Amino acid sequence: MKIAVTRLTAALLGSAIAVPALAEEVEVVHWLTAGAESAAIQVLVDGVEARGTTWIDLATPGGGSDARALFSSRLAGGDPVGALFMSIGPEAIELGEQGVVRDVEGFAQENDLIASVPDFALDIARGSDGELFALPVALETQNFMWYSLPAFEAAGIEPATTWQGLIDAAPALKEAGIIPLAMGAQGWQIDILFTAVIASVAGPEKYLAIYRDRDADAAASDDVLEAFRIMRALSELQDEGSSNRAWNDTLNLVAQDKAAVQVMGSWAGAELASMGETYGTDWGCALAGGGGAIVGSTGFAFPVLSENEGGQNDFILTLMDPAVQTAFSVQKGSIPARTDASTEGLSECAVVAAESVAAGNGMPNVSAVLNPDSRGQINDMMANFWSNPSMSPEDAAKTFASLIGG
Amino acid sequence: MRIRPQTLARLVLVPTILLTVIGVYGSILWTVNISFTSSGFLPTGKYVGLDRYYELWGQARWRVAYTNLFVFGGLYIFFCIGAGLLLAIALDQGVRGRSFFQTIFLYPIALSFIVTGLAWRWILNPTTGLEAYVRGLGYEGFSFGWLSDPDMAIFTLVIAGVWHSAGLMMVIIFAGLQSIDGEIWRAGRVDGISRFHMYRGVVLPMLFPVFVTCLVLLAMNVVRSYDLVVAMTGGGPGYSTDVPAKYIVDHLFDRANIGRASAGATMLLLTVMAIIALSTYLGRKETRR
Repeated sequence: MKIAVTRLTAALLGSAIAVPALAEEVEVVHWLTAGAESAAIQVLVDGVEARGTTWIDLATPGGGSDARALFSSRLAGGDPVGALFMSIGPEAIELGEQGVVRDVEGFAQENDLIASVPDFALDIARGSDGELFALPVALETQNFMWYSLPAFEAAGIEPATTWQGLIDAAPALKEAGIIPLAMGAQGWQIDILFTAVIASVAGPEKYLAIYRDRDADAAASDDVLEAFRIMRALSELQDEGSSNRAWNDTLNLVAQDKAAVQVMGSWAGAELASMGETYGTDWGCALAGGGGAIVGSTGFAFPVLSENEGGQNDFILTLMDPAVQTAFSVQKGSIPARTDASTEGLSECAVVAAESVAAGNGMPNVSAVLNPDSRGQINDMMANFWSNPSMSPEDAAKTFASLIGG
Repeated sequence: MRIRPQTLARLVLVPTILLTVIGVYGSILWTVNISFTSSGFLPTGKYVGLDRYYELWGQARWRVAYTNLFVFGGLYIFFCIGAGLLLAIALDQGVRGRSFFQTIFLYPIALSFIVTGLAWRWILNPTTGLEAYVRGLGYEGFSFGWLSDPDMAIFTLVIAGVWHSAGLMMVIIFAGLQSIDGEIWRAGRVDGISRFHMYRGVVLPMLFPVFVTCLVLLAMNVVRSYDLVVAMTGGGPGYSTDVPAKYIVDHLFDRANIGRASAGATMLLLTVMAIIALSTYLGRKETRR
């Protein structure tokens, strides 16, 4: 009797272990759990399951650091997951150089998945020998100007979408009791504004020379000084309450027509829409200062697996399917990473950004090309410059050049 | 064989001791060790000597944060104990409605620093708080923009911190005052010593150990002052209200520079150790006298 029970247990255990080995599956670590984001993830889930692979969801609602912890502990336990969601950048390369994630170049070329992805979006995931360690699904534009149409109307002027235009419009706006520039003076928000300014003044090539190639001459050029002069002028357009204000509280000023303009990423558009504000009558958008689109590339890295590689491949094929990329971005408010994907269904602002990227004016955001430490030091310097009128643009430009070049 | 009670007690304590040695002292040693390496996102074993410390002290932001530790800490401790003492003496003198005031002043300690910081951020925000309110009353010229002034913002943290902790100091000092023997007061009265001189010359020196307790409690709040800063100023404007704890956490997680973060943590540890050594020395001297 005892033996029979043992045998039965063994048989049950055996079958339980055997099952996953038969069906293809892919375990996906991500933190896209908020409303619109989870709808976007569902697009991927449906696509993967349609290929006959089971999607095992390992969402970490706590965000990126939780996801990284889960990823690392599974890796350390010898049982890596199938895919890791990430903002593509140095992290992907670091994981790749450690031999932890797959070089997907060959597989992507074989299946013609990346021909239409802009070069800069692939370069930021390439190792020293040209390996490709991550694939982008969507690009998040971070340098939109969101403006309130009623605010400009109240001041009796046309919406200003250039820096000088905004600076010139400021007196009229202030006269009408409107804050010209809605600003949340937190490090990352100042950083978003500054990169928007520098991208529009210097253009994509010089932008990459400064941030990616760390070219000392480019960093010390007159364009950079001009960017700091514009920043100083813009810093005088904010209201007194800007200190440590969250981005969504700041956006609220634009939504309530108390402020004219905010520079913020594509996520602000989704927020405006969810506040019940209508595009075209309540608010409008433009690429900040008339520059190209600065985009954050979001996608996945693929750990090296010993089994279930078929599931992982199904996931990659789904991820890079143009129709899936469009559907994903429609939900998330981003733009597809493949420039040959349709822009149908995307918001008006997203189409503007997609056109800019397709025309070759796209740029990666700073976090994708500059190490976190240098970026942090520039951030600190910028935050100090923004809040401290005694620091001259000349001094700031000099410090900036030494942080980039040094 | 019988186990002696002492042996048993020691055996029972072994897990705790092991946990403390590995979890606390082990972690400290590990942190100090990391601070001598070139570690970035992940720990590396590459030793670079004191480079991390030179980097650290070369940064304006760290120097501001480290100075703020003393500016904030000094003012916070001074005003907390000062306000607590005055309130305690007032209670000790038998103010009417004692338990009522006691409750009111003790209430803030029930709130976390996060809530305190957020509330004071709203109160001191020029566009939504006090300034807007007073202006709304008709005093258009009133201005109180410390929160957005890089030179003054650190003092808003002191205001919020003192508001939060002064009540607890009041209770501790009040308990001390109550423990003073009534005979001493009577003796003072017989000798015709004024109340002020009684407090200054007799009662407060007797309370020295109580003040040391207050100091230690407050000093711990200063060293771990992270949540108040994050909730209230976010270290800003600029980095004018940064504190070491925030600097360390930023570099540990966002900036992927655990080497420099560890160097900062080690500096913080050394500072705390120096202060503890000093206060222990002063405490010994006092008890010997």
